Amino acid sequence: MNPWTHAAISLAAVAGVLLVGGYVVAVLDRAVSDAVSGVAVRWRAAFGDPVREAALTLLSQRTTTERPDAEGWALAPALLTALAASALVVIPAGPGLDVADIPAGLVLFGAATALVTIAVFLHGWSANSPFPLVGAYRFIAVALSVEIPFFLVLIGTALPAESLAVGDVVRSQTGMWNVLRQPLGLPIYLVGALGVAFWGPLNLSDAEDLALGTLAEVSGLPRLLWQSGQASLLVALAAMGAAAFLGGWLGPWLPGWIWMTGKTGVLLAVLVAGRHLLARVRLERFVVFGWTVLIPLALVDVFVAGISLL
Amino acid sequence: MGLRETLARLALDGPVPVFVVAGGGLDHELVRLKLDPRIRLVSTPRSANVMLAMGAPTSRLLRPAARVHDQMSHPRATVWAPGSASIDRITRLFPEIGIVRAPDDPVDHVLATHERLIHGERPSEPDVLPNEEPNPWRGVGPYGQGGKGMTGGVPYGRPLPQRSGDRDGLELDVLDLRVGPFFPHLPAGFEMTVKLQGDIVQEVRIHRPPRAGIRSDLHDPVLQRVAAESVCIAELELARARHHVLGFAGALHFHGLQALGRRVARMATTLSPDSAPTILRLRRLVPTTGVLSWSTKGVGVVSRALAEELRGPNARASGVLRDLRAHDPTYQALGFEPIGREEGDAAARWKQRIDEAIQSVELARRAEGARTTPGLGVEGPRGPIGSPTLTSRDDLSIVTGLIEGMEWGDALTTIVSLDLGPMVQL
Repeated sequence: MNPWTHAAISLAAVAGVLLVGGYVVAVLDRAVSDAVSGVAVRWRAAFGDPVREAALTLLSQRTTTERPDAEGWALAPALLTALAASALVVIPAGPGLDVADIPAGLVLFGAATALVTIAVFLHGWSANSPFPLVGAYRFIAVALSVEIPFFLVLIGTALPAESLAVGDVVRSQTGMWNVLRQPLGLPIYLVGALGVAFWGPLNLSDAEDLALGTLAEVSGLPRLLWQSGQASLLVALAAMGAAAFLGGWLGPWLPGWIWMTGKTGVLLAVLVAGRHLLARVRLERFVVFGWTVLIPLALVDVFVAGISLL
Repeated sequence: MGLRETLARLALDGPVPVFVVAGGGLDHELVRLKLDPRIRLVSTPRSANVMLAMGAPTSRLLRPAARVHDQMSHPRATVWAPGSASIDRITRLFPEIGIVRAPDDPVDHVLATHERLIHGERPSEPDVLPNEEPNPWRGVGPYGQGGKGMTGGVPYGRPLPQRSGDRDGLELDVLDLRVGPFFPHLPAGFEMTVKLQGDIVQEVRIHRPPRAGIRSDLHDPVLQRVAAESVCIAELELARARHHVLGFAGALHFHGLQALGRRVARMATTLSPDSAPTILRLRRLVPTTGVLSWSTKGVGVVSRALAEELRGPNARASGVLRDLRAHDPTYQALGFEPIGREEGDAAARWKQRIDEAIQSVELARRAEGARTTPGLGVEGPRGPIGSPTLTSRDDLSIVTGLIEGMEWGDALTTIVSLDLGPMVQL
């Protein structure tokens, strides 16, 4: 295939997956919210409201603060979305159905998700306002205790594959999925994903007690971009969870990409439900939990994965 | 059809984002707004197009309300629902604000205003306060302050970066922050000035309420009558249970569980003497969310000695079992005994309120026609009715002492769990 055609198709595919995925996050969020609040799920509203809210946000003018770092503020949502896209490209949707299933796919995924820290800090810092800045500090404070166990369990999945390519990680699960082979992996990965995507119980940077933290001063298009960037990140994280722990495209009867889509959808639903069923953690207590429980457990996970190869 | 028209057509069918500015004593009204699917209450004025102000304003609150107004993005509008009060003061001080009188249903007015705003039939409201820097950038000197060296002014109207005392080994610049009087989740009119270092509260000064002893927790009609006359115990106890369950619904929202908060708020509006099993189910269900463990456990511990200064459920959650109902022969006949806990933290205060709500519903079921005994004083949801509440001038120092040195999140968790009464009647 002509490299330009390949690039154009890849770009369209990634943008399409992120857009549709982000929309699915918004729909699931409303459906779960209705179910938890004890009313019948209003599917019409669940499917329609994300589009309506986006339209209203687009109609609202962007606001500014006193002497913000305008370039940084504009760049942060774009960086977040670009990082989500970079994380997504290494994940194959089916055998041979990939944008860039590179030999160091897990490393690129790790690098992209680690750099989310920069996007969030930039977003909070640039507003030149106290609540967004405190939100930015909080993300920095919690980042290491989330990201270390998150990456450790991903490394655990690379061991049986003897490769850092995500396609190889999926193929290594032909006999048994990693969720069974490394039972500690997926739960730790999901906690890490909540933290990396500053979502639900680990949404400390854009939290209610900071009047939405880094988002407190944002309106109009930048708000929409930031929220869709966050949803895109969730999609990338759920897709990697499906590939690394739930056997990716592996499954009987149906085409591989349908299995991959279904498994990603299930993990997205779990992450969205977490937002409505788990209260926000306390920063300090979570950091202690991260270092004393999550990281040792993640090390045990890697150790078990290594032992099973001997 | 242009892009703008298409967006406008789409935008009109969705829930309207509203920032509410409300005075004390409007809890029931706020719950109704929260449960209305046509609007969406938002936590920052930046994401709202309509500001809904409720209550009759005092001049002390008009300026902060105007500040909130000016933070909304265009297109924006204000709906002021002053109830029966006069709006002269608002129109006189801020003639630019377009005020819609909303004596009936404020939500209908919000929707109508929003529709006209989006269609462009109503102009977006201009700023009420002048939008100018207090100390403009003058480009001379290291901070643009307009002089050489450190002299010549205060850049941007703020002090230069300062360091504060070391609390956790990490010294960051101090952030001066003014919070309130319309910060979501804090009582109406609650205002404080905070010095933050990173996420740590270094110093806090809670602004004194204009006058002590505003009893606006008595928004419930039964609680309004109870000080003056003997009332039906069943009604009084249901009002108490409603107060506690509504308070807990607000706390759930604060801790990130908006949907569950709506469920619990709806439960509060339908409480009856047979509701004990429903609240009990809530009591069993809620711990799975972590709101009574990892979010609140060990936060804002009030010692037993300090609790002697407090009243109502706040005192009882720290082991001080004072309750006026224990001295009322009618309550004694109903088998009432004060319940309490020892831990004294935020989790204990919420558990205490839920347990008291269950106890109250049980009492309401047993009370039948029994009435309170006049002359003995009445225990309200926040303590004896008629005595000063925690929002009185002296007791605010307790709050200050509790939250200094805490992380910002814990400080707010503590304040929310103390269920302070509103400080103003807007």
